[in-house]
Parts: sequence; C-alpha cells; structure tokens
Amino acid sequence: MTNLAPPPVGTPEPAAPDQLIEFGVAAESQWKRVFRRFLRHRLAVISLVILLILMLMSFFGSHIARYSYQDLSRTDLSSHPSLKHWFGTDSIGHDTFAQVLRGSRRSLIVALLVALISTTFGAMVGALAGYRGGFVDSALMRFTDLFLTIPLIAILLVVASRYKGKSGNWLALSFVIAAFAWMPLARVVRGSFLSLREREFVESARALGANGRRIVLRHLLPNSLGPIIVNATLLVGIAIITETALSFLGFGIAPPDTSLGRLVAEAAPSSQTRPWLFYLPGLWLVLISLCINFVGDGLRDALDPQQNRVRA
Amino acid sequence: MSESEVLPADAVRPDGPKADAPVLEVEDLTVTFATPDGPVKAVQHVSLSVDGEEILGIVGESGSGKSVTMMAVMGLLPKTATITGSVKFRGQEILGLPDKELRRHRGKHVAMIFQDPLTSLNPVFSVGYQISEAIRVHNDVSKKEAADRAVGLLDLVGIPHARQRADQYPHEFSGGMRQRAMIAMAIANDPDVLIADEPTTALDVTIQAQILEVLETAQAATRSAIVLITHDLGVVAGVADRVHVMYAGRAAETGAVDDVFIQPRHPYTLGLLDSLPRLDAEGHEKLTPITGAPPSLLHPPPGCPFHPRCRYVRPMCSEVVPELRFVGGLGQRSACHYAEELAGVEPGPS
Repeated sequence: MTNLAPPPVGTPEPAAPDQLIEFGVAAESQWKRVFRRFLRHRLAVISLVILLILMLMSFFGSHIARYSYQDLSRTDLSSHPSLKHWFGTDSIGHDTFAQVLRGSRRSLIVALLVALISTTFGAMVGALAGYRGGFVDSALMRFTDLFLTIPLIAILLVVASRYKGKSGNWLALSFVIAAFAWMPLARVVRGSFLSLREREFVESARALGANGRRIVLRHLLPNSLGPIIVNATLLVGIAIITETALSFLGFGIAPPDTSLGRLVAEAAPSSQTRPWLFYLPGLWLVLISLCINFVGDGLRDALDPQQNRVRA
Repeated sequence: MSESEVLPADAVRPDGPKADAPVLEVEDLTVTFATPDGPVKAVQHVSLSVDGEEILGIVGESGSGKSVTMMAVMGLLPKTATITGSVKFRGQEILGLPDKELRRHRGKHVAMIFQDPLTSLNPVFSVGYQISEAIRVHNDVSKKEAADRAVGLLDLVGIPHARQRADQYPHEFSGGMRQRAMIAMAIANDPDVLIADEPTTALDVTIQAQILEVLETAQAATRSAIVLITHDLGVVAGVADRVHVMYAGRAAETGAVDDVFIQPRHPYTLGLLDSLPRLDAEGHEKLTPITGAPPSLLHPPPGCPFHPRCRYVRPMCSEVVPELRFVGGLGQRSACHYAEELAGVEPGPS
C-alpha cells in the first residue's frame, strides 16, 4: 500500500487538544471513515458530483434556463442542437433541453419515492423474518418468493393500466413500481439479521437485559445499514429504468405530465430524422442511471469494512 | 485521575449488606439439548450456590457444562434446551420465568461478561454510547447523565483518558481495553452477581492478570458476587474463594480453593493439577496428562463419567453413579466412591 508513506515532516496535523489521546490519534467516527473510504473511490466521487449536478439542474434548472418547457419558438423548428437550444427543438418549436429538465425531474421524484417506499417495506419484512425466524420467517419469505416469481412487466402493465392516461398518476405509479421492487432488499436484510442475530454482541446485549425492540433498533439494524443503503441507491437506478420502460410503453406517466421515458417514447418515430430528440434525452437517462450505479458501487466498498482493496 | 469525580455517588452504590445469604442458588439443574442424534445431557444434577461478595470459580474442560449452567441461569439458552431443576435469585425462583420478567433480572441483578471482547461489542457504536445504553436499559436517566456515568465506569475499570476514550469505537480499543469496557458495561447496573465466562481466555497472559485485577476492582465497587468460568486453574487459584470442578456435565468436586487444590478428593481434580507445571518442581519432570478423551455426552459411560480415564478405577465405578458428598475438610465435597482413599495423595508427578 502506498499510503503508508510517512507524512511530510514539518507539517503536523493540527488537532484540537481535547481530541488527542495518548497515541496522538484523534477519534474517528464510523461515518467519517466511510466518507474517507468513499472519497478513495474516484469513479464514484465523479459520479456523485455529476449526479448532484444533474439533480440540481432537474429540480432548479427550470428557473435559470433560457426557455421554459411551455415556450414555443416561432423561428427554430426542428433545429439542431446549438448554443441557443442545447438539445435542439422539436417540430413545433419546444426547447428539448427544457423538456428533458422537466421530464427528469418527474422521473427522479418517482425513482426516489420508489426507493423510499420499497426500502422501508423491504427492510421491515426482512427484519421481521430475520429476527423472529421460525414460522414468521418461513411465511414472510414465501410471500417474498411469490412476489419474485410474478413476471414484473406483465403485472405492471395490468396494474398500471388502471392508472393509464390519468394525469397526476405518478404517485400511484410509484407505489406500483415499489410493490415489485422491495423483495431483494427484504432478502438482504433477512440474511444480514440472521447472521448478526448470532453475534456475541447481541447475546451480550441480551445478557444486559435488552428487549427485542432495542436489539433490533440498536444492534441489528445499524449493523445492516451498509447493505440497506447500497440497495436503496441501486433501487433508484432500477426505478428510473422501470419508470422509463413503463412510460415508453404508454403505461407510465401520462400527459400533460412528462418523464424521460415519455420523451424518449415520443421521439422514437423521429429518431432517424431528428436524432437529437431521441438520443439526447436517452443519454441523459443513461447518464443518471450510470452515475447512480457507480455511486452505489462506491458506497458498497466504503461501507464494507472487510474490503480493504484500494480502488482507483 | 480527575475523571473519577464525574462518577456519581450512586453509580456504584454500596447499599446495605449484600453478603451472607446466598444470592444465587442452583439446585439439581439438568439441561438437555434435543439433537438429531438424540438428547444430549449437557448439564446433569448440578447444584451450586453463590454467596454475596464471594468469587466462585467453575473449572472444567470444554464441553463440561460450565457455560451451559450459567447460560441457564441467565435464561439465554436456545429453545431446543430442556431445563429442569431450580435457579433462585435471592430466594426467588427465576427458572421458567417469562422472558419479559427475566429481562428485568439480566444486567440489573445478574450480569455477564463474555469470553471474546473482540466480538462482544457492537462495532457501529462508540464504547461510551454502548455503556450508557446499558445503563438506560434499566434506569430512567437522561442521555447526558448516562453518558457521564459511562465515563465514570470506564475510569473505574482503568481506561486512561476515559472521557475521550468513551467517544471511540470498539475497533480503536485493544483487546484488553475492550474487555475492560465489557466489565464496565456489566457492572453498569450494579449487579448482585457477575458471571464472567472465560473472561481472560481470548487475551494474552500479561493482560489476563490485569483483567483479573479489574474484575476484583469491579467487585469491590459493586460488592457483587462473581462466578468465574474458566479452564485455567491458575486463574482460579489466584482469585477465587471457592471452586466447583465440573466434568461431563456433572460436578466432580467442590470446596474452598485452598482445600481442593491442596487436598483434591477427586481423581479428576488430581489429574488436572498433575497436568500443570509447578514452580516448586525439582528438575525437569514430565507433566502427567489425563489419558483418554472426555466422554461423549450423547452416549455417556455408565456409572462415574470419569471412570474410563481414572487411574484408580474399580469395578463399582462403571456401575454406580457417585453422589456428590461431603468428604474431609469443612465444605469440601467430591463425587467419587473412593474419595477418602485419596486423602494424603498430593498432586504432583507420580
């Protein structure tokens, strides 16, 4: 390892005196460590920065962008990407960049909501199964298996068709996607709980008189937080793709609302003649999900104390 | 160490006499585990009592039932275990109590220190936080107050710069430090009985001595009784008042440490002592091992469980299970048919 090299002489680390202990090592909290390890993962850091920029642009960009998604240009119809219209315009003069900003905002909201709902639900199912074991475990895991065996897209199409075409259906859509995204997390949390449950510090907590609630909340859950966070992050990426697929098929976000999936779907027929309308929103989407996956990777490495591999 | 001032007067409160009456009484305890191969009797008819402020050593090799006995006392055995007999805390039966009521005992009345301090602390919380959590399990105190008490406890068990150390995580503590922290956590609620399950086994020898000292400090502060589970006869000889030798789930011999170690009345105790190097030995005598291996608890031998390995074995040994009975000096008891014949046999190379 290269980082074992001694620090340059003459530049002692300034540290608050009350933080110093006898060896001159300041206390480092768990999260500081995770953060430091995450910073080592260069690809993940770059991805996080890009992701944050994309998210900021999606949520606040409409205030500073030159054109609103409603603006119609009389002169620039189907124009190529240019300095004036970064992503070009469509046949009636909509600025594509403004549309992409608006679409990715909706896509991101749906994706974050899906991640939140399915992580919460999945973690609860997994925690209950892993902690209780026995019959509860079997029942919950068969329930999870059941959901895993259902062909996702088919069910989504059936369920989503109930909301098809209704404006403001994004909330319902989020719940529908989340209902089919929680299973992997439930399994991960259950596995983690099963192994943690047998660890000595849990037994020692029991010997100190801790009740089940305390053991779950103070001992099992915090120790499972790593995999939960990683899974939640990756779920955001999966949710964006799923939402796009549904919207592309016409079962997702309904007009006048729009999303990245809908933009791509609407531009698909003109992908030969006006490629920017199709490829630029598509690239934007790919960039978002790539960044999310790299960030998830980085988090996985940072949160896993067993892994000491330094990644470039 | 100025930090001892933060220890509130009632953190370790010497409230009234704890001595005299036995705080913990185990009677005729039998623990059976149901396994696919049949029932395993891990503990059979074990009786012992712990008086206030005394240190009771429980000695035996792996699988002799020392830990299982104490886990039964804590009510921490898995559901596959069938437990019969009686466990009384201050005269009150606690065996078979619902878990909810047992939880009130655990930590508050009977606390436990585990063998491996490396894994007995939760890796994601600071040590001070974990100790204050242990306090808050049984006491309705503010987080601030509990944190202050935790610092006081860390100081008591000899952790330097306790206030800074309290904010550190288990991985930043050495093995000995962690075991000190475990002891601090165990005495956080001023228990009446402290069960130490091989507290020094995972540590190196120099640290072992320190930890035993810390245990004695902790005992002095809480005036609790200590049950010291170990397979290290030296540890027992050093700190325990009485000793309980276990073999194959049964009590082999029990009595005051001095009596048992100087005049063992059970061949197994004798064998254990013979297998230890002695400082007063002349020249380079070889140690005498106990031949054979511990019996399978699944198919224990008939009669005395030790008879297949006993050098004094006689026909009766394989037929009748010996009772634990009084022999020799005051309070010394042995489960050997021929205990009296061992009078005068001194441990040492034969």
